[in-house]
This record gives sequence, C-alpha cells and structure tokens, in this order.
Amino acid sequence: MKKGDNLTLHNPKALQILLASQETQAYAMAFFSFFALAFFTIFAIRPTLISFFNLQSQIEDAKDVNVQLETKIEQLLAAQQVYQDYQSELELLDKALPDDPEFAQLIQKLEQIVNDNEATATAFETIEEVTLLDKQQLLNLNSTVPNSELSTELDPEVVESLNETPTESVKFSMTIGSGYLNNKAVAAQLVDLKRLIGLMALEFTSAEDRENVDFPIETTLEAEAFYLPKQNDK
Amino acid sequence: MTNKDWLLLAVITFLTAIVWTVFDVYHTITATTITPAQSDLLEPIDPTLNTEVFDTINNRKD
Repeated sequence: MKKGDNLTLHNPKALQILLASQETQAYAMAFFSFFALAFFTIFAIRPTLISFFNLQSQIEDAKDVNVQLETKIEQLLAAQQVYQDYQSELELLDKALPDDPEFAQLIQKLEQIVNDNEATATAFETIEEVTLLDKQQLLNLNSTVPNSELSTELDPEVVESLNETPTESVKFSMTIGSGYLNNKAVAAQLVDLKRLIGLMALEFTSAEDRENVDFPIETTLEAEAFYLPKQNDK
Repeated sequence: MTNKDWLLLAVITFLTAIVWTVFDVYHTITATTITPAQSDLLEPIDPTLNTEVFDTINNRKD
C-alpha cells in the first residue's frame, strides 16, 4: 500500500489492508495519543489546575484580608480611644457646625453683636433660599404628614437634593450703620464666633457717597453661616 | 482526509487545549477573590484627631 492511495472503505477487504499497514497503525497511535492528551487536558487537567490555583489564590487573599482587618480593628480601637479622650470637647464641634441651620439663634446672635457694638442694623436679607427647618425635620414632615400642603410641595427631587449636600450654609447680607470702628468690630466679632461664619464680601460706604446720612459709615457685609446636616445612612 | 490530516487535527486540538488551560490558569492566578463588600470593609481609617481645632474653637467667642 502506497502513500496517497485512494481506498474504498466500504470494501471490508480494503479496510483490512489499510488497518494492517504499519504507516496507518503509526498514524493511528499518534492520533489517538494526541486526542487522549487533549481530552484529558480539557476534562481532567484543566479543572484540577484551576481548582488548585483558585484555592491557593483564596488562601492568599484570605490571609491578606485577615491582616488588613487586624489593622482596621487596631485603628478602630485607637479611634475609639481618641473619641473617649476628647468626648467633652466634641460639643465644640457641634457649636461650630450645628446639625441644622439654627437660623433663629443666628439672627439673635447677629442682633446681639450689633447691639454690643452700638451699631444699627438697617437691612438684612438672605441670599438664595434658606432652609429654616433642618433637613431631618423636613423629611419627617414629608413622611409623617402625607396629605399636608408641605408634602405636596416637597416633591422627590427636593427630598433627593436635601439628601445630597453634606455641608450647607445660610447665606445672608446685612447692612449696619455706625462709626467705622464699630462696624469693623461687628465684622470682626462675626468671624470670631464659635459658630463658623465666613465673610464673602465687606463694603464700607461713607456718608458722602450716599443719601441716607444717619450714620457716618454704613457697612454692607455678605456672609455665610455653615452647618453640617447629619448624614442619613439608611 | 489522509492520515496526516487526522494527525494534524489531533495535534491542533491538543495545542488548543494546552493554550486554553494556560490562559485559564493565568486568569485564575491574577483574579482576586476579594469581594467589593470586603474591599469596602478593608478601607483604612485615620484614627488621629486634629486637636488644634478644639483650641481654635475654644478661643472664639460664644
């Protein structure tokens, strides 16, 4: 039998001759060897290797996680210790950044500062919208009184926006009249309050530059009083 | 198909299986088994507190 001979496999005799040839036997052995290797690679070796390396990877990751969690526990214990050490001081932070706008207290404080410095507040207005109730109160009103007018005003977009901003502020503009030193003292005292208030603009106008001459100097200041709404973790 | 063709087919199948296995093993080795939830838990925290802030606030007026 020669290489390249065309054989009719339907013929049992020809098939017998073909199977008996050494070349065919050699090729058949090689073919089945490679086929068996491929078969076992796919169905036995591959899953075994994957399981092996996967388990090894899991063990290493678990060790890493363990080490990092130990570190985190130490950090938490340290943080707890710091918190306990400074617990009495923490209310200072609440004074600096209250949970809600505390608008009424802010107005009272401004009035007190103005009076203390013998000045007169001639104008006061808020810049942009000011939330008089704190966020939590608004959300509670919205959830507990579903049929009230307020609930209809508080559409989901408003509720969502209330939940978004972590730090907020009450922006206001105030005009005070008095002498230069008094007005300056008001501004200085304003930014020196325990509650965080930032001055955005400060303008002194002398009596010559305006019609109202009740006061020698009129000061317009724009400021914002910050507050930090509690985060809703739900 | 001749004998050679059959052998070539078997060899290619075998090589494909080997390459497939190697890539799968590589993927298994490089992929992490740490879940996103675990990663969140592992975020380190800084336990130090800037205590100067307390002094600063304390020095301000009520």
